[in-house]
Amino acid sequence: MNMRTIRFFSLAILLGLLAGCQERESENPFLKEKGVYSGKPDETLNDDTREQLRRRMNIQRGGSI
Amino acid sequence: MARMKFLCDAERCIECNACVTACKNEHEVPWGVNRRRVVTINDGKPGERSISVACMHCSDAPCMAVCPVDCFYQSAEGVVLHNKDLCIGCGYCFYACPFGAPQFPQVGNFGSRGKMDKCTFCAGGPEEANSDTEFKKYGRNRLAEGKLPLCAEMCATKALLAGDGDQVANIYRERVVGRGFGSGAWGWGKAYPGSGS
Repeated sequence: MNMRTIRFFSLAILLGLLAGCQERESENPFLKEKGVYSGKPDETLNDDTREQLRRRMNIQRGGSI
Repeated sequence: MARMKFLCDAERCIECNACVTACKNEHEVPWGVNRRRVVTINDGKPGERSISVACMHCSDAPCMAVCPVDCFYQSAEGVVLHNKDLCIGCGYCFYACPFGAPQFPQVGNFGSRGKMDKCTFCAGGPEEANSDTEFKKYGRNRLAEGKLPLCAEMCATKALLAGDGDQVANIYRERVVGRGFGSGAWGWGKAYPGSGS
């Protein structure tokens, strides 16, 4: 194996490794602001569900002292 | 609606551990992880008290403050939730939490930690509500179904209360007035400073 072949394969391996560093290859964000949640936003409850939760709370009142 | 809160009435808790079992069963929590547990002090002695402990969803949550990847967020109802896609399993939240709530499943043969798992107030996570993905990662989303956390809803003695903070406080206040004494609403001062304990 001559120097030229070694150099070619070294370059191919290096390029392969660098390709793995692309942002789209990772699920995690690369750039982030400290103290700010950068994940998927959560769904909020609607008013009906909130009212249902409030009513349901009274079940826990149950029993004597 | 005020923020969601937990309260354990130590005068009523009989250490039956049903809340622990219900939580594990409802969310299919894996072996080695307990989102809720019952702690007993002065066991077998006069003044014995039991308290059911899980994430208290603190108003100024220390876990959120120390997380290096900011995987925590607070829902509109004040429930402290986290994103398992962002969590790196560093364990900082566990050291910061005064209630020992964050849990880490063992993922390898050499004790390596997995993604953090904790009580979600039965509110799931950032995935689509009641989807299969959400259930697998975070457990059931009862809040989206209009139901409160199962641990509190099935508590036989109604020692564990969960729901709107104002309503929880009112129920506990009525009890304290009725029986003439309280047990100090354990953990409230630490979890919700300024709300009275």
